[in-house]
Amino acid sequence: MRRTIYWSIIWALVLCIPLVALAQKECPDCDKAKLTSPLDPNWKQFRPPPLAPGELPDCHRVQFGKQDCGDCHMKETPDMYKQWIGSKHGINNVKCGTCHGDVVNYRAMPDRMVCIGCHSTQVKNMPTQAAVTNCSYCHKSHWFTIHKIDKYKQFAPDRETRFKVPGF
Amino acid sequence: MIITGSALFIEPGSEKLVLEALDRFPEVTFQARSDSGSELVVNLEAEDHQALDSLCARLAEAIPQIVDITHLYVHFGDEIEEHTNSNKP
Amino acid sequence: MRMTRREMIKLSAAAFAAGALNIPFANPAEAQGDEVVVDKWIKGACRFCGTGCGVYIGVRGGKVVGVRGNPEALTNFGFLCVKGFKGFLSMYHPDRLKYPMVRQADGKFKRVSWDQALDLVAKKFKELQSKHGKDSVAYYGSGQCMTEESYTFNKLWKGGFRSNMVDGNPRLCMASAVGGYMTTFGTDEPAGSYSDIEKAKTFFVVGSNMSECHPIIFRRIARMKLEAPDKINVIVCEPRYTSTSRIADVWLPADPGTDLAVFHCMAREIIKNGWIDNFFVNNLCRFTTGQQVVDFEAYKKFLEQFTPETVSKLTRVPVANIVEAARLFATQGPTMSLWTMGLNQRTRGVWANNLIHNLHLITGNICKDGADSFSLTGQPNACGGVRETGSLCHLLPGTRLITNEAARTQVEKAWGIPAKSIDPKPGFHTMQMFASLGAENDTTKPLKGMLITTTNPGQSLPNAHKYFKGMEDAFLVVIDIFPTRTTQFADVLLPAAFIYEKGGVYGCSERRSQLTSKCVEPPGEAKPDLWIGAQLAKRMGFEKLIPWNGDDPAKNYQMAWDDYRMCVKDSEHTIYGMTYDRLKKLEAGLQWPCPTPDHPGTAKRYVRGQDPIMDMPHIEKVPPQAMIYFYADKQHEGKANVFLRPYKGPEEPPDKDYPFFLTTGRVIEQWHSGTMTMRVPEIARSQPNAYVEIHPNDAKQYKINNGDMVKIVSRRGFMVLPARVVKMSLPGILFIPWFDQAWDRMVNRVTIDAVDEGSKQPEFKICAVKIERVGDPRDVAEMTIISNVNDPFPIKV
Repeated sequence: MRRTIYWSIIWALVLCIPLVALAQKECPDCDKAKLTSPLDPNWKQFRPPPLAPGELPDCHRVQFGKQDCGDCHMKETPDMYKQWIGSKHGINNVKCGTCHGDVVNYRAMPDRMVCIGCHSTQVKNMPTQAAVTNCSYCHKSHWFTIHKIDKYKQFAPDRETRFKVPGF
Repeated sequence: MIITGSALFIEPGSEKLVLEALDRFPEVTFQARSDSGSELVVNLEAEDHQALDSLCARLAEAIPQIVDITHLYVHFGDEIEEHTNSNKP
Repeated sequence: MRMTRREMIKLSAAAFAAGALNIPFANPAEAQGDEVVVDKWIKGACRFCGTGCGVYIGVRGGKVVGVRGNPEALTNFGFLCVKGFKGFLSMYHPDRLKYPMVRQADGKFKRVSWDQALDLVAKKFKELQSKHGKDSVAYYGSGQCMTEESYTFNKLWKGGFRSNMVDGNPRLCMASAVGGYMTTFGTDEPAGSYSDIEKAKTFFVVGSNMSECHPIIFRRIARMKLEAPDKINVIVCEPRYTSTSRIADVWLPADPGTDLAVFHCMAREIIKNGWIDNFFVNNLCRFTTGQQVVDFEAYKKFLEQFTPETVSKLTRVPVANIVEAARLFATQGPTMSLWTMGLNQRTRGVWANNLIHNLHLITGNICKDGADSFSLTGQPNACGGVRETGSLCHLLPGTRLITNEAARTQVEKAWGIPAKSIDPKPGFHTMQMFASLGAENDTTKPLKGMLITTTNPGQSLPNAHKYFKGMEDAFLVVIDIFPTRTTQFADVLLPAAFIYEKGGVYGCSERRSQLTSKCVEPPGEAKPDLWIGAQLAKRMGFEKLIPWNGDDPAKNYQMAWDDYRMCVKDSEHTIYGMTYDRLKKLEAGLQWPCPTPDHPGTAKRYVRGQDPIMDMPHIEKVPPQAMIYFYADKQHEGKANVFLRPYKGPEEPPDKDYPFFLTTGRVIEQWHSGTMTMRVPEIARSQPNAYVEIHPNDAKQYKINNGDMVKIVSRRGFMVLPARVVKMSLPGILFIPWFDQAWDRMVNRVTIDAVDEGSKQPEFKICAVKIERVGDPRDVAEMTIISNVNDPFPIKV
């Protein structure tokens, strides 16, 4: 019995991190709410609040600047980027901002009102009493390819040589 | 403060009995059951590791129909901060 | 009920445990805080491209708070792209125009009342018409107006003013497709539907970057391809290696403007290998040069010049790719072709369209499940609102030619105006219109006034410099929701309602009409275009012609729709059966021909059993034994024309002085001139400025690094923008998206205004330029929008 407890504690330690974030949605240190428009020059002054250990809140930890999300994430989180571009979302050009929003409405874990844009049947089918209504809680972030990874590989973006066009 | 999401594996058909018995434990909150009635989902609340271990031991002793207890999710609360802030290995 | 944090943790923990055990977890707790609660979801159509996605608009407290796809819509099945999903946010941008405004002597706009503004416009229009003739005031509309609105303005001009000076921005985007369908089949718009996508085995995507410009239709094809990569074939013919090519099996990278040769070469391969459909060739095809009818042998002989080797040299497409494309097209059917601006925005746009139809006709890949020659529209209501209502200078409602006397008589009767009152002479097409626009005292300019709605010619006309002065000098009335490059020339500015603030019908690429219901009130004093049109009509003495000027907007739209329904009742474009009640009830709208209120709509034209026109002899006479019959054939033989069009390249190919092809296009996030989408933060961030794509080999030669500022110069103008060094096409081809309204990066300062001689559509897609590095990388992610109506135009025109 005791061994089970310790084993599961270790496992849970790894898995619980996103849930802690879910639980700590309110972020009293964050002055995000003051910003009204994305074109508001104040966004430049925005400084993210300190991050508690294990916390993953709904604020982008790095200033957006004027950069396109993909330009930075291609370098900073290459695995995630590869997962995305190889997935159905990547093939169909559903890019970062579509789900994660922008400076004033950024969400690390997009909620179902984001998913409803395209997957409204699935959102509708969610039990109304469900305790966790965040789709990405089960449909893991960017691991869209988990079931079909071999199939998607055939459509990797950098396979232009297959067209055999000399000079390209 | 530790809060868990735990599975109680119980003897088939003993669900009602176990639920009644669980009423005597304020640290346990019943949340869901499987269709077969042999698995229950509960929250356990305890001050720390030792308290959690002892709670499990007391449960097993008081309710013989419990076959096993497995914690599937553990929220550590402030304990994790104490750990990270302390110099203990 | 608001949960404590502790309860939340407990629930989350339990949910996780239940999930791991596969136990359904339903807790009696209230829903959590991340849900946007709406008062109601209202059915409508998407505001952006021509796909016609069905949406539900979420309204809370009188405001639109969200949009979701309608899973029961037969266009998008619930999916939306970023524009459809986020674009509505622009409705609440502070730059929205809220009050009518008139430009004063000092050049600044002054707020006036609606009565003042409309009286002024009516007075001025009447004055111009009496002084300079009925044709001195033009209407320039849009494929984004509601059908009822375009119909109303068209009726006011052609039936009221008796003037055919009516055109619209579909001239810049779909005219060549109309020309293609009209010359090949005798009538406009595709025979098939999107539903052919799921039945097709081979897709020929040509002159279209579907994955960015029609992402939701692309999704339907990508889904098929992903499910069965070995059974579904995708051929992409397009100079750029776009993200559409990711799902392609064959890429035909023809140099801009050279693809006519590729299509002929494919036809040659098909005939040489005996892959033709003899039934179609013998019974349903008429081979013609355009002047003279010839036989199949003559066609075969004509194609001899287009050997794969010759064509490969001309177009840079590898021989093997053309041969393979021909094989897939003809033998792995049913085959569906889809195209957009890459074929249409060309001086040989109509011909390019004809040649695609040729391939379908000789292989019998049309009028069958999964086989169609399908033109995608760029705008949400170019088909329904402009092509079908005939709101172009040469058309009448039902896409009937204005030169056709019988059509004029029918329309005169429907409109209740005296016989012979519709002018048989077509008006000016868009480019001629803007070239003829000028000051009252300028005798070389016959057009003195213009009403522009829902479009932005100040940014979207090719070779733009040439047309600024006309817009500046003439009496210009602009209806829009934001300040644009066009409002900078306006004399009167009328604030419009957004689609979800008024409702109305949109008709998408597949002949499908969908009704949007009004969801919320417009801001300030903004008004629906229909109201503006009807009020103008009333003030100019045409209240009888346009009686829908009451106070109930929904009733006005329905009256206009019913008037239009009656007007096209006995045409083969009949929508008589599409009543407002039906459109309100049906989740997916209806496809014309739809002749009666109990008709389910038509997915496939020209096929007996599916197309009701096949059995309506008072509209078209079809022999009783014919199963497939192109009834709109002008020779009344039920045949479609296979054209022997000679090869002709682009108007301005690269040469020694201007060595690069420049091609223009779109990106997924931005819509047209960016006036709406640039006001949506997520979108603006993804594409904050225009750029030029340049092949690494070319970049090396010109010592250009990624991000460097480069100058693009054509014979007409120049622009300065950052370089994106990337392998997206063969060397020698540059690409610039056209959405950016920043003066430095407005690509239409450079593009050419040569037009197709049939469709009068300009060659936006191809011109010759030279390039020069002018500086180090500079921050130009400016997300430029014109916020202030009084901001002057960047140059003195």
